[in-house]
Amino acid sequence: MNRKVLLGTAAAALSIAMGGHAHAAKFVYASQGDPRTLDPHAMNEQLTLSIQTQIYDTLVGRGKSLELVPSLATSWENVGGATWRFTLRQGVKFHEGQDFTAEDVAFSIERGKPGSQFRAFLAHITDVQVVDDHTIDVTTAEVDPLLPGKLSTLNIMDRDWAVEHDSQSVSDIGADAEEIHATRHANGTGPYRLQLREPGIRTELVRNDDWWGENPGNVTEATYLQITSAPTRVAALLSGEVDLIMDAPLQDLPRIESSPDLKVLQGPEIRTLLIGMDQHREQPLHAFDADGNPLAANPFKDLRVRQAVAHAINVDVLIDRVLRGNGVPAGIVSIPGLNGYDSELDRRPAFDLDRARALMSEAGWGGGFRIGFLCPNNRYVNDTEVCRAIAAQLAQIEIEAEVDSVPRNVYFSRLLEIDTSFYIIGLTASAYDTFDLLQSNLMTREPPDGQVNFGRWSNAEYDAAVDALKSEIDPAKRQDLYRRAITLARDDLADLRLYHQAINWAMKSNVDATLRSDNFVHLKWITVN
Amino acid sequence: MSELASTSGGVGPRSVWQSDFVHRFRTSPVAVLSALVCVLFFAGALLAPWIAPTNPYDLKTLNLLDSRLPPAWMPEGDVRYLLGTDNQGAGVLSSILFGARVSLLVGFASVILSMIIGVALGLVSGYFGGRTDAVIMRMADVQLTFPAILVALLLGGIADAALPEHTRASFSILILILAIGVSNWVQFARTVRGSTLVQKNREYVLAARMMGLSDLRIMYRHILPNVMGPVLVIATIGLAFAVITEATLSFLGVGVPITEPSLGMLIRFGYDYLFSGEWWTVVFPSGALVVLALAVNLLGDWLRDMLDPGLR
Amino acid sequence: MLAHIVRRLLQGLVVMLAVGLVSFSLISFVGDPVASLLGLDTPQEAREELKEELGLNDPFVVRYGAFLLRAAQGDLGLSYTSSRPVVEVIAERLPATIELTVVSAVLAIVLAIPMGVYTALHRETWGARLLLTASLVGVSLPTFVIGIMLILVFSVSLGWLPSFGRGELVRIGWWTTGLASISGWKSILMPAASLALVQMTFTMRLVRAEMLEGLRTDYIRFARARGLTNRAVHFRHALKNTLVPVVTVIGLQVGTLLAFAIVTETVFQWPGMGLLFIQSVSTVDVPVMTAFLMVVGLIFVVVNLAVDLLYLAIDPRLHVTQ
Repeated sequence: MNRKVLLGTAAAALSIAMGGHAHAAKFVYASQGDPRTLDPHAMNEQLTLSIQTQIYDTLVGRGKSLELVPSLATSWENVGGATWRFTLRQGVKFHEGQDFTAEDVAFSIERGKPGSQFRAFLAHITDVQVVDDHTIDVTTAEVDPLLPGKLSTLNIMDRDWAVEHDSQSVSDIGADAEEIHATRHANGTGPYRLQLREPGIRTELVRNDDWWGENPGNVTEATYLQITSAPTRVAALLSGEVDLIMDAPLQDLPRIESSPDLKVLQGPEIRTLLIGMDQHREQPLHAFDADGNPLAANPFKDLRVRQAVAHAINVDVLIDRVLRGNGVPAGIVSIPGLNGYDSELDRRPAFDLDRARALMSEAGWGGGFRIGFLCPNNRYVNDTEVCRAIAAQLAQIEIEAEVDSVPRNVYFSRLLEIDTSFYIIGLTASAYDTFDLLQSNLMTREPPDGQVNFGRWSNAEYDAAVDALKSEIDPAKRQDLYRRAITLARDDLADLRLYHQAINWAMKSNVDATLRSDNFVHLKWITVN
Repeated sequence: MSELASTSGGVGPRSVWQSDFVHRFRTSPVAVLSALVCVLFFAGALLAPWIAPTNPYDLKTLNLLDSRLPPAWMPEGDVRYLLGTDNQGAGVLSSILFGARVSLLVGFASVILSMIIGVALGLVSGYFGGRTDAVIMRMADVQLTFPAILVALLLGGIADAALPEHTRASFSILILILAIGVSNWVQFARTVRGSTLVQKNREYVLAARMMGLSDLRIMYRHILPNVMGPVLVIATIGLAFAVITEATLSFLGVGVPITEPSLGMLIRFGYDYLFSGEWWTVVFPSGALVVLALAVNLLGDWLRDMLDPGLR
Repeated sequence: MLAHIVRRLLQGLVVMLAVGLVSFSLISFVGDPVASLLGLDTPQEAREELKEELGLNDPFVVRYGAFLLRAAQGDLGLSYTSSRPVVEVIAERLPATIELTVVSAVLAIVLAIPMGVYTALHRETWGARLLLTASLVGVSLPTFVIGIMLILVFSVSLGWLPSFGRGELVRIGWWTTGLASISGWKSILMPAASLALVQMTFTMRLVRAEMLEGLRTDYIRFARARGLTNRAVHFRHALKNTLVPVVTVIGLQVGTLLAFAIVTETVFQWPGMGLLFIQSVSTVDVPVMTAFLMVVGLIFVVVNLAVDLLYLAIDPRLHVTQ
């Protein structure tokens, strides 16, 4: 107890001496999950990264609206062909005192490449050349205009520290594997240092007053807690035990807002919910006619059926009732805030039951059909409830969607085996560019192209446009290609876009926070008054 | 109340109690009241498709615009939905009636399953003794390490991975019944074994043996009727326990399909709404469950007192 | 006596082997850990590599053999999600669960025995009936509802008790205890109470039934005839005789207690094994799930052995029969 008080005072004294922030503050925040590891290259998972990013810095940073900003690299430029040159910041030190150099960048890229979950961003890197201590050249197999953006996901680790602690490569988890030091310890260059790590319970961070950047917030000590049960999490906020929860349940928002001590911060998340429809199989899976016989033909191959589904779903009511207003209707393969998004294109079919029924009859499916509807029950905001509401709406046009609501691991494995012909999914752009979505979501399925195209829509013209984007550097030409691909997918209803999910942070009234649409709580942007 | 009547019949030599039994039942207000509640629940569950104001399973009748309505007597309530609606627009009252149907199905089926396993193993164990007895009792030990909750989590996991999608919904109830049924045989077995140990040395059993009757026949015809009293008491309380276990399992993510929720599943949904203003989605289903479980338990208690001659 | 203990130990070993086989084989079917470990945008070849690395492509017998071999050396593998030795992960969580279950068992016994005795001695009174009925309410509501209602009242409305966690911990060797600080005791109160409720109802009923049984025996009648006071009869003789079955049942309830602890720990974010287990179920962390079941089995065997020995201490008659 005493120790903590002393620490706090010391930090406060230090900050006053430095003429820094108003007053030292402790900050406690929570959500349903826990970072799975502190190893910066082991898991590409939202929450895990959001904690790691307090401790580690990336080569290229992201600003408050996810725009690329200098971080450990102060500038970067394409030096011809497939090579990018990064100029590194000088005088940066790791938390344990080591100097940051180009060797550390080279090491981190190499460490992240084999077998890691970041390989999608790094696998095409063919050569990393250390020019001098603070300059590095990165070459890819083909020209990659998006490389700086991809490297904005890669945390930089100190090479000597990793070698010293036997953490040169990402931890194995096989039978003969052993835990590596970097799983529970961290040594980054970031604005906060790791103080205590109790996996599955808490992670304690303290402010790094030697950070190279400016930390405008006043949080000197932060604790992240995992609180799995939603009502318990809300209770912890209501009773004042935590300052902020990252995933406030929608139904509790009115109560939280009505309390004078609490407030809610809302914003869009980079995640679109959509319904995928099998357009590949001749006979869809888990689909039956009125007599219980498997369907002889695949209705989703008919554009009119896809249009009917689109017209039958009332997204506005869905957002209003099931999501309690926390969502934005979506119509295209892009998300507001992403490079390449165009609000003029963002139109979706209107709710029109008569038209939907007419289209069904026209397509010869007036009698309807029954189909399994794959849906997770712990992945997206109110996922199961959204699915049930959609099923009820589709019942109006005689499509009996049987909601198969499963935990996320089962859901993921079924998707990957494409053991479904009708499913809901929430997609994000991992490197924050519309291109990510265009490529992984709807290109003809030949991973990494069409990696998450489980409906297997395929369109040659679309593929050509996205292929051209892979190496097109000219911004104006890129915009044209984005538009063409987006329009093609929209007009053929490649899949049915529903809405962009919203983020809701609930917090005490005295907390000022900046909500970024990647749902990372950045402690440097938190001020406790 | 046919099962109560047959209880007294099953007690065999003591069937002289018959009239006394009815009399005692009639003069016990607790027994009458809890029996009445049970009958109401069973009837409501059985007749749900006919008496429920709406059918929450019929997706076509659901309208999102009717969602989250408070009970009918409140300012924004709607007379069509006496106890209000959930966030899908399904009436809470109808959901409770249909949910009780599922809960009671799981309850009865699993209790019957445990009873069959437990009574059979208990009889064999007590009657033959020796090594058979030791093996069965060790099995009971292993079983106790795996309570219904763990068994269901494991079985549920297997089923999710192994079964084709469209059959899963119908199997999930079966899995619950299996998990709860298989996990609760031990109490039956122990009780029956105890009673069998006493009965097998009674004169009438010895006489039957002397007459050369087969072991199976002796167990079935002579011992079984005499151990059924305590078995029925355990079964009654087991029913309440099974219904609660089913609710707990829904909380842990193994339960009936959400499209056909049981009482437990309704509570699990309502649980998330506890801090929101929509109290009716959790209070009414919980209330229904408490009343049902309490009535069954009280009935079991009363039955126990009746069947234990020493307590009279 | 010694032979008896050795026999029970051997039986315990057999039980453990059975538990090992059951949990390992059941869990091998639970689902695909690879799907939950890797995000959707991971390429197929990375998935295959991981599958090979985890040994998921080996036949069942090979995997079970390897598992037993390592388990015998106290090595249960590395957790898939946290990349840490499972034994260490479980050991970290063990104190929380043990403290929770022990405190709740003690709470249940301390409250249940006097209530059971009271309802047995004053069987026809309204007080006894009320107590019996009220205790049923505890088993007529799912534990998770009781838990969240406690939080609603004591944390949110009154602000007396913390809604989650273990409070301030003190480390003694590898063991962490919350029972050495006031905040620790405040934290354990609600979880232990909600977990104790079920046990309490059963124990109280058992004590009552055994007391009633005991009071009818010749032994007690004889004691009365000897002119002993009611008080002496009730407590020195009748109650003492009820203890054997009560101790047995409490021993047998350990499995149930640990299973319900999963629910309680989830509601109160109590960082014990149960919470770890339910989290590992959702991430298909197979090594953690297996280890949890093994530890539950071990606790069960140990407690039952202890109960056996306690038997010998409480009831000398058993010396003869064994």
